[in-house]
Amino acid sequence: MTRDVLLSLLLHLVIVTATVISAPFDINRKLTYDEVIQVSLTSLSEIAPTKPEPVSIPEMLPEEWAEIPIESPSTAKEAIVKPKEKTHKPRTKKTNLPATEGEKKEIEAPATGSGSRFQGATIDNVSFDYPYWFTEAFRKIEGNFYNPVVYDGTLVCVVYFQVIRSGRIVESRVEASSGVPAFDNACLQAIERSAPFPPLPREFRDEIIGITVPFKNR
Amino acid sequence: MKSRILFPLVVLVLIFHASAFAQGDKVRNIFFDTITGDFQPTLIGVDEMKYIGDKYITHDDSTIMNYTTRIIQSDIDFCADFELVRADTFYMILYEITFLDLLSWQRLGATYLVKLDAEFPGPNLRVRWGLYDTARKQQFARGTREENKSRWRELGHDVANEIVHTLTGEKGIFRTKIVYAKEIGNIKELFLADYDGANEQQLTQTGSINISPIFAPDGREVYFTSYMEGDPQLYKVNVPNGKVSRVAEFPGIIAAPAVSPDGYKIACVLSKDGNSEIYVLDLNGRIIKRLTRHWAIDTSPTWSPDGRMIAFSSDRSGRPQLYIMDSDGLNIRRLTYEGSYNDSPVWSQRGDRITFVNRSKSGRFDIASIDTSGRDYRILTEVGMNENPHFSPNGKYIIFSSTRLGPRDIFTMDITGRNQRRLTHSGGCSNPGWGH
Repeated sequence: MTRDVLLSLLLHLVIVTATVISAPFDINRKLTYDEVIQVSLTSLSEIAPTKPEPVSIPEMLPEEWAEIPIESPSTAKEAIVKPKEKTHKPRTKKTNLPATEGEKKEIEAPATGSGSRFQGATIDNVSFDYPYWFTEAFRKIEGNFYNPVVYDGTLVCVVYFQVIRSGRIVESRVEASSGVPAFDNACLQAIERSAPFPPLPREFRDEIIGITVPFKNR
Repeated sequence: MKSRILFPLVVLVLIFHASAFAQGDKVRNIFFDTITGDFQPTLIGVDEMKYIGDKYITHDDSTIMNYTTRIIQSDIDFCADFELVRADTFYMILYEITFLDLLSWQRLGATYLVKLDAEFPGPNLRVRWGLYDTARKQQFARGTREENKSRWRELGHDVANEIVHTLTGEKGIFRTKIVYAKEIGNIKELFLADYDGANEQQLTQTGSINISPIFAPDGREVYFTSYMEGDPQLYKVNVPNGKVSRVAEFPGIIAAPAVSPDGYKIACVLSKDGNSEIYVLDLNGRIIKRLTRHWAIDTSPTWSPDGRMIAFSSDRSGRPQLYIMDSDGLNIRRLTYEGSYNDSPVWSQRGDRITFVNRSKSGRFDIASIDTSGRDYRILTEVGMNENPHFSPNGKYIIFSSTRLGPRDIFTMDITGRNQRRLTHSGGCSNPGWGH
């Protein structure tokens, strides 16, 4: 019995010693620690009753966007402040004047109405008055928007894109970041995946339109 | 006694070693998107076609107008972006009206209304269509199409294509063709039909088993595997004249052809060396390159829209799973980890998704799809045995075969699995392909 115990201890000692000694000599072995991303098993929003820990992002969010009230979508329109280099003009009446640089018109369509994700969207071309175009364009954008960020607060990313007569996009960029790159990318991808947009109406004279869209995560 | 002590000792040592080396293994990163995007189809009404000429029309002309309207309504209803609002006869009786005006269509839920006017100049049918905003009560787009009366079906598809293009900016698919294999006794011949299953016509008459048809990018030729000379070999058929010719001949089998997006190469499976491997051939059937070299069965190649990558299925992990490699055979990586059986991949022309066949634990075959980055795995069908998926030319619809209603027939659905429609009713139909 004692001999068995001694034999066991000896074996333990030999194996542990061998393992410890052999480790440094294995030059090919590299311990890599990949970034482990927490898995959130929430697929569809309607079957996702629980939410993971909120992420902290306040320092990355521009001050003017962080001011947007969360619980009151109806007042969010007034709270949205455009980037400083762009001047926000008050809403103009229907006009046939050609587009003027720096002039913008708030888009009047159900897709950009009160409570919408895209509330506050504007168009560079004041003479573009085709609600069906906005309805279809924003329906496509909504259908192509997949938000990868789970966050309790409000994120706002402002994207600007230009569409030519055929409905193709010639430029798209993030005008004001939400502070969360994944959310910004999702917004930009929603625009790019939605192309082509409906062609510009034949009656419309300009060759290009520019649209500024604020994406909200809720 | 010795064994009672030594056994736990050995187990302990093994556990110690396993845990020590496990630290160096890669941790697979898993993402599950929270889908917040909410898609709502636009509601559209299509009013009955009205004759605006000043002469009396025949009963046949009236029937053509009626049929053309049905084609346009059916096309609009097929489109994933729209939902057709039907004229509500109860509403008309209730309000004692004989036709629906814009306000009525708006009350029925239609955002837009398509109005159709017909004329019959000579042997032709001319259709003027107008798109109306029911809320604003005004027309915002219009167009005119004219065809010989006998081509009323094509005319209806053209009008629907123009409407879809006006509202979405995308080219309509209503003039596209599908091809599929259909059982005739003990053989299978290839058949051609419109996208909605109409105008079915026999494409091959080889008297043998023909399977896996796939359109060349220009739509003028269909490549397929045929047993007409014994072993399954690669053939093509010219669509306009039906002439069949052999493309390649190798020992063993040639299966699952996939024409590259540029139309100059064919990826397919050869077993000439005893095992199923993926090769790329030129259009004359000469081997350009062998892409896979593995003891497992590699099959079902499909090209990415830019021609830079090829997805395929392989049981190299023990079960059939999907893999992606560069088009030169390098950089093979596994795409699917969910499901124990994933086979027959087809890459979307939009480039963002791959559809394939999944076999559930109960043994049922379903159509599934996955993002090309390996995320967003979705099962799209629920009933019957569903196989042979293939994308439409615009990548928004999937055609497949299913036994859900008994005999195997061809069905379509949009990429989310909605709006599933039966195209064929004869049974014995499988292996559909969709061309331009």
